[in-house]
Amino acid sequence: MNGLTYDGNGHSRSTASRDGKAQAHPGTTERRAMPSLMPQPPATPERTDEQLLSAYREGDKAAFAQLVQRYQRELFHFLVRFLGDRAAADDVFQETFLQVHQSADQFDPSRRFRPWLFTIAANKARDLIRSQARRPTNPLQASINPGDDESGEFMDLMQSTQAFPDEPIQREELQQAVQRTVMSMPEHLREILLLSYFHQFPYKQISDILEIPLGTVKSRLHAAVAHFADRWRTMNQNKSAS
Amino acid sequence: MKTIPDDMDRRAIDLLLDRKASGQLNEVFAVSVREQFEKRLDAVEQVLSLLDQLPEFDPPADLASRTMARIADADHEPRHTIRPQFADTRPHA
Repeated sequence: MNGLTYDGNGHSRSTASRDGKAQAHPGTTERRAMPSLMPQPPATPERTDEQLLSAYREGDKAAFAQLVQRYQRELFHFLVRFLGDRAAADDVFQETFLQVHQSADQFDPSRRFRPWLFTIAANKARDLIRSQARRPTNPLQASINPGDDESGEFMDLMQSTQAFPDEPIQREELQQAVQRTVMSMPEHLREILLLSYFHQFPYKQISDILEIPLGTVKSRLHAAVAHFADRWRTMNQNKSAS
Repeated sequence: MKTIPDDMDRRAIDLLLDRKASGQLNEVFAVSVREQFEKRLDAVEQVLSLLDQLPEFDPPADLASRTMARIADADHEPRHTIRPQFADTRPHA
């Protein structure tokens, strides 16, 4: 991908995949070249997240609204994918910014706002999942054949044609299958995979967000990818067997 | 039994997911094992690319405004003072 990814600091950074294929990620800002016949005045630089929060602390309420606007798409994406429920994501999104508002004075301006925001959001989302888990029915958790004990080599699994069926699958069906697979993952694996893949946090920042050691970030991500691949294979085996 | 990523799988995952690890392919492996590693990389990339199939979930159009309204409401709510379980209404001795 040769996209521009918002880095949470008011800037975009370019990312490129190995195949050069364009990929849009949540929070991605597409820049388009604008034809210009006249010299353009220099654009007013956007304030960084940290500058907006500082302004808010000094009484600029519009700065906070700008932060909410800036993150509504990316954070909502994370939450709805993590929780698997739009209404819950909506609620946690609001709770997250309420917490940001209430804790704004405690924010260390020498640190980045974006990881802090995601720390709050992930904590709120986890709290919700746990509170739902204590109820008799759990709408936020999906389970796909929890008793399955199929095993396999990682390499074989990933290169298996069973993981990517030759038969064309309807897009919607494929989307639902991937969503079910993601939702069937344990919460801590799903969370870290989403943060890394979609939100492109470096390992160090994930370590800060989840408050876990860097080594745990790595091992958890390795496990998450393996788990996702396992579940995907299981689903497709079941599908082809039925 | 679970699938356990071996060292090459782990390196492939790190290379694809950790932005800071990007561009280290040449440093990590000698030419003799590089081809094998490229296959692992392709395999992991193939698995991860499935995630791109997750549906897009656009936020409700009024999410930001509702969030701001909720914060305003929270500010206007009277602060709940914590009262002692037994109000101190008893006459002092």
